[in-house]
Amino acid sequence: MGRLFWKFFFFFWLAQLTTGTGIGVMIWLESHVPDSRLAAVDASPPARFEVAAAAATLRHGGVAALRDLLAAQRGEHAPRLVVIDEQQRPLFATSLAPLAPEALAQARALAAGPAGATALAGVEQVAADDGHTYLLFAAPRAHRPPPGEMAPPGGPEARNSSPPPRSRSPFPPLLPIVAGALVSLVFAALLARYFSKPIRSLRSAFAAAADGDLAQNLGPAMGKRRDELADLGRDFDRMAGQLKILMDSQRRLLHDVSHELRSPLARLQAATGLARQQPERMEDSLARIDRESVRMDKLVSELLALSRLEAGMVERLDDCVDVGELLGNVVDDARFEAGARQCRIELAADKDVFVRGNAELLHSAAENIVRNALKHSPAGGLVEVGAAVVAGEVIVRVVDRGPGVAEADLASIFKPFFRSPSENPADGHGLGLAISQRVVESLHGHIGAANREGGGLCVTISLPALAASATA
Amino acid sequence: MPVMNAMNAKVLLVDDDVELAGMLGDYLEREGFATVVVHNGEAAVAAARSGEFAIAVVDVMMPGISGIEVLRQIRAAGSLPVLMLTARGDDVDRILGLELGADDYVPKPCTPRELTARVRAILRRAGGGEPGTPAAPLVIGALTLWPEQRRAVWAEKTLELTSTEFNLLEVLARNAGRAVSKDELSEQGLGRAFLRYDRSIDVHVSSIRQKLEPLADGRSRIQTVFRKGYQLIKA
Repeated sequence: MGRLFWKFFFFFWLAQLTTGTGIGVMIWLESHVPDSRLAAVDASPPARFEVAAAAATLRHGGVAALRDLLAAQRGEHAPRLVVIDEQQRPLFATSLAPLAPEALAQARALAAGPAGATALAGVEQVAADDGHTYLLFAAPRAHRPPPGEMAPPGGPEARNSSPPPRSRSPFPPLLPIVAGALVSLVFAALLARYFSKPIRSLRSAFAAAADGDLAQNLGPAMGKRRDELADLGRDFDRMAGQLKILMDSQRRLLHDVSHELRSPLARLQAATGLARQQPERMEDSLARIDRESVRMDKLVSELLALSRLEAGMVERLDDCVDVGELLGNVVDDARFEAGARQCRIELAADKDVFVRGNAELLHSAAENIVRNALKHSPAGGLVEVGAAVVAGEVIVRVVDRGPGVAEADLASIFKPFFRSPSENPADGHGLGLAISQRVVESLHGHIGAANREGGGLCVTISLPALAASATA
Repeated sequence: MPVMNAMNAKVLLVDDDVELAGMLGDYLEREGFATVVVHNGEAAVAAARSGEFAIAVVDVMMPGISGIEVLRQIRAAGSLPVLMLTARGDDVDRILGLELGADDYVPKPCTPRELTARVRAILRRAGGGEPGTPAAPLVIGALTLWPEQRRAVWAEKTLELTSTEFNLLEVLARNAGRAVSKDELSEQGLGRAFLRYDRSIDVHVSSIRQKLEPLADGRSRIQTVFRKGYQLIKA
């Protein structure tokens, strides 16, 4: 069940129990505390007022006046005025029900007290004009129906003794308390479970994740809840999903890397085998061995660069870089390669276009794209490189006239080790564009590829432009 | 299948790595094998079907139509011996290839010498016995083998065996009734030493088992003898 469940449970149960018990006790007390009170003289202010008024009327106006007063006072809310003479004969027929003897005794006792006190207690003794001394007091109201209406079904006992139903009930007050306790137990348990169940689900999901199982199904397990706990479940799913993607891509990268290393190694071994078999062509073989070593070196460097970019271990990200100058360098370097196949490169860059970033990395990124364009250009083809500022962004474009890329692959060409099926594996490793993408994205830019109308690929980089004034 | 002397056998080399294939082809030619190099699966299958080759060396890691698929298609068309170039450390392709009927495998990267040795081993076995051996067939119960013709028959039904499977069955048959160690099977059947955790022999024997009918009591004709090897039941 879990400690949280029990904590919730006991806390709420205790609270409910205490409240229930408290209320129960109060009600019980109220219902028990006298009977005597019920039977007593009503000393509340309205009653006292009535009694005083009646006494004054009797004193000054006589019995007839009192009768008139009382007649005018019919109503449910008037206190029950009791007027009796020395022989305990009620004056009026209105005092229908028999008086409780305790009330009478108390009234007499109170009447016998000091003059001031009697009025406060709601009792008056008046000598009337007919020679009798009358005792006036108010009996407390409780469920007495107004005279003239139908008698309550219980008859006189109901009118007289009218206590709240519980006080003389044969069952002790224990029963409702126990019932209350049981009900509160059930509700406390339900409440505690309502909270602790999703938390337990979360726990087991975390435990599974720690063991490597990043399945994302907490959301559905939360059912139709729509509170913070359900949100927590969904957040967990999102996090697990992200982690899974990251881990899968790392695994894939590792696999691809080892695969990639195999090819140059295989060629190296073939070259050394040939060198032994045909010593007369040793020079040739040695040249091949050199070539493969260089290739492997390049592969390792590119892999390192890629992993450093991914790990965010890059310094000097806030150089101020002149894009035109940078592209100029790249194009100059590339012209040499281009010349071998009679390809041409043209550069059209605006002046004074600046971005913030690591100059060397940007050079790499641009170089990879330009080299890629050259590689795919037909002999004598043209590669155009351009840079311009558009709406606060620096847009760099590299366009070639090669075969372009299948629409479905346009996003994939920036993935590590991606090579289109027609490419010779010996040419490069498919990491250049991946590196370019990482560089651009680490500088908060964007890179994309699209097929050019009329054939060829257009690679576009956009980077936040640096205002000229900031370059001082 | 034409009987060929190892010295003039024609080799079909299938690998998408142009430079590597070029170098290996160069080496094989110098070793006396006429070599044709192709760089994709479709060309490979077409060439294999032409019947002019004694052996095909196929890289399983090619993009596009994979080496495994090429192997499957070559097998479907005939029993041309096939040597797989597999990825070192990758068991799956290797076992799969052997199950599909490849004769042996060489993990890449490999030295050209290793490759040539394997090619030779397979061709030597596939080439049949030296001329002059008696034409008497081996008869073990319902199984009849003609070694120099590379033909095997089970109770009138011709068995479709790869070159290596035939070699192994022949070894087992010549030693019928006794257990043959895996070392011996490897040397005589595959033409190379037995590598400690190599499962090639097991896969080949399993494949042969499926092609032979079981004994009356349901057991296979080829019994695994614990820690000793395999044995062909004589009955």
